[in-house]
Amino acid sequence: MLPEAQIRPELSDEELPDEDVFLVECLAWGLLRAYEVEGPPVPVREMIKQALPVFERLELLELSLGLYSATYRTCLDGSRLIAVDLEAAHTDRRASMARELFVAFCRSSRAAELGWPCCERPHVYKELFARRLLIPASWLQQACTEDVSVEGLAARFGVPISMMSRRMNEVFRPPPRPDRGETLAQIMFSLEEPWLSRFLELMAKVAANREPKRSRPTQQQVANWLDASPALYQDVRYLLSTWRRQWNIWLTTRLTAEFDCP
Amino acid sequence: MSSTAIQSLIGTALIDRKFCQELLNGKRATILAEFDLTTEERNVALEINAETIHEFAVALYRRLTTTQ
Repeated sequence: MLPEAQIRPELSDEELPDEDVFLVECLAWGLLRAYEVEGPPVPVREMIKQALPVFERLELLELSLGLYSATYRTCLDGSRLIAVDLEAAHTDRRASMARELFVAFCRSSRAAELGWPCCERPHVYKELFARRLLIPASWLQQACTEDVSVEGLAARFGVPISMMSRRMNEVFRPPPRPDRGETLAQIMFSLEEPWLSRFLELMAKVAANREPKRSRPTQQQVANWLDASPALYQDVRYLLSTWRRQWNIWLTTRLTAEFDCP
Repeated sequence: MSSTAIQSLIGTALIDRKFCQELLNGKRATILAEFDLTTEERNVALEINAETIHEFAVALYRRLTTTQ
């Protein structure tokens, strides 16, 4: 078996591009629809055992791992498996299987064909995916009308209490973002030259149709532009994320082309 | 936040190649009828011109986020 990288997430969910989070949530809903799951608990074990064609020869292996609750592996013969630790707690196993199901999708030819943005770093997104697959927001909202205890809801959805607690925070107390433009502008202005100037030139050109060589916009101006345009905010957030983390190559290429960088 | 129906639509296209092709190439109106979309969501989805499901999803997300 070929080992897959076991790297801990480097970004909090709040730092992930909104569009990527949207796509991850879409994938979860697509799977729920394909398996005709209409309520909790989501049968994640059965979803792996009867894997859709898109998962390409994915199998479930249940044994005593000792190290991970579940882990994805690509085998030398091209088959793929999710190994699950039978000794792990039931809810931990389910959460882990959901996480590894996401890794399996990221390693599929379909993900490559889609230019799936999470392919490079599935470990960053897999926890997010697991929460969305096992605890869809609308189901949680519905369930909360009948039971408001974290323990009760965790049992109903078949997930660890910590996972339910986090999901409840996401669904019912989404982080306030009145300063989103300001925060992004602050990150941009913390870049070193020549990158700061190049980002500012791009911003000025896109947001205000200004000539690049005119006076540099202030941090407050940039924040205002970002707050005024959700699309621009998304673009810049994605671009900055890419720039800082060296993620998706295409965005870097786009920036390079824009400014004729080497 | 986008609706469950929109997310199911995109999600199905992500995992089903045939469905994805039909959504992008000519059978979009038929495909959309299978989902419980609002009139606005349906209109926006019909207007988008995209070559890939990724482009389609991002455009849809942006349009719907902007209008909310």
